[in-house]
Amino acid sequence: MRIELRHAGLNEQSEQRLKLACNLMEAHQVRPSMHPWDGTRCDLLVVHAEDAYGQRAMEVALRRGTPVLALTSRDMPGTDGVTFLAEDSPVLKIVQELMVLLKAQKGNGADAHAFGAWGLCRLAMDASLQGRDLQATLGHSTIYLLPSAGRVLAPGRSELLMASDNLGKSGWFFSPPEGRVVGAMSLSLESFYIRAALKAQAELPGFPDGHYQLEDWPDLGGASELVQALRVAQLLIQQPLTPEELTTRSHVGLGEVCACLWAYQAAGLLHKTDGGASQAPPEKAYRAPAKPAGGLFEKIAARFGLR
Amino acid sequence: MDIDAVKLVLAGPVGAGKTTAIRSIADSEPISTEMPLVDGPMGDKTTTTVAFDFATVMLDDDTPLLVYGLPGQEHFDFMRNIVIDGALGVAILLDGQDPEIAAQCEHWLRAIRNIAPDIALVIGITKTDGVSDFSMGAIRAAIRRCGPPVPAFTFDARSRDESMHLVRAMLVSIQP
Repeated sequence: MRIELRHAGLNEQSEQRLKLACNLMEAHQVRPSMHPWDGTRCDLLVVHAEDAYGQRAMEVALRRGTPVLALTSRDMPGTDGVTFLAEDSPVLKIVQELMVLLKAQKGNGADAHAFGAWGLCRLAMDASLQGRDLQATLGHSTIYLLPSAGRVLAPGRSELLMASDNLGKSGWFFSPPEGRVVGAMSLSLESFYIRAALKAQAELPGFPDGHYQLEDWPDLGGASELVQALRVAQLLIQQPLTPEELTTRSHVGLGEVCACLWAYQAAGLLHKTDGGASQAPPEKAYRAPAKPAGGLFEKIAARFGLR
Repeated sequence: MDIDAVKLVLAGPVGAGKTTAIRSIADSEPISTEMPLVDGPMGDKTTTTVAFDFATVMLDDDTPLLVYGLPGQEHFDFMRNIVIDGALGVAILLDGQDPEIAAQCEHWLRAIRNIAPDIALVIGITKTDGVSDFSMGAIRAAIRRCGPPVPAFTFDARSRDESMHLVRAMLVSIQP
């Protein structure tokens, strides 16, 4: 996941420590893009608490809800949105505090727009777009996203490929379809979103914490190479799970799990639940079919590419 | 279940692509009981299965997975009990160009579950690529009316990869 990290009022030594911390964050699959504060929105801000410019940047960031790590030479208690840390703290401690702030931000359902991956995140999180049939335009290309039918329509294959390759980027214009929706190519919306999400995986933010479930299967027939999306969908059909629980049970990496969740959410199939128990009435609840014994099932699974 | 002869069954109405899908996943040409359509061709389809299709998929240790295709005509419904008995799962294939596809989906789901209530199921929908008004919405509603969720995938029965993926979707529902 790529994040925008800004700093203000740091001395040279603190800036060096922060650079090292940013490099180490890659071990957590987070790739900070570190630049001096320029007043624009970012995912994390690091300031020196006793520097006037740093204090000014911190005020602006807090008004916007951006988490702040404030380095200080004094012992100061943390407040909402700000973590104070001794300026001579080890680099690993800085990494730890930055990750805590980042996770808290995600857990609060952070505005996905702030992280990048605009097109797909907007479709997934923007209440005015969720579950609506839309005309999606990027440059001179227009496709139709139809959650009501579970289909994506385009004039041709090249438009679909272009859209899938770029759905994680900014520049998309979404509006209700104008006139009759037609397209020479009609494909599964979920397969289209899954491909786009996995392509934009590095730019996608982590999926907000919570328990999620699928009531209907996504149509993954057109994504035959993406076995991981199948595993994630099957687990979400069985019971509500958090992104981390999904990662553990599916043996699929967190990045891919989150990509699947963004895709299923954009398709309007994902439901957030109150907890870990299935919300389905007993007659509709998932029942695992019988599994052949004697290692036979494993042989069949292997033959069909499941191992 | 006889573990030396595990079965996979393809079911669904006439013209949904069962024979084509079996040809795509099997290791050898299926043994078919194809006869010319009495009422003339249905598009490119000139024959139909009157008993059943049969083919094998060989597993790593040469254990055969027996693949059966049920005839789509209702007057062969007596065969369903016999063929589905002991099967690992059933793939129900539907024609995406059929205006009655949701009713067909519900009919076949109920018919198979009446025979084997807890059997693994998957629904494969063919011929949807060029149908601009095809909708999964009605099919999902039909599945919900029939009980627990079942994977429903659009796919090309001529594609080995996509036909294999359909079976894979059925298999993941059996995995713990």
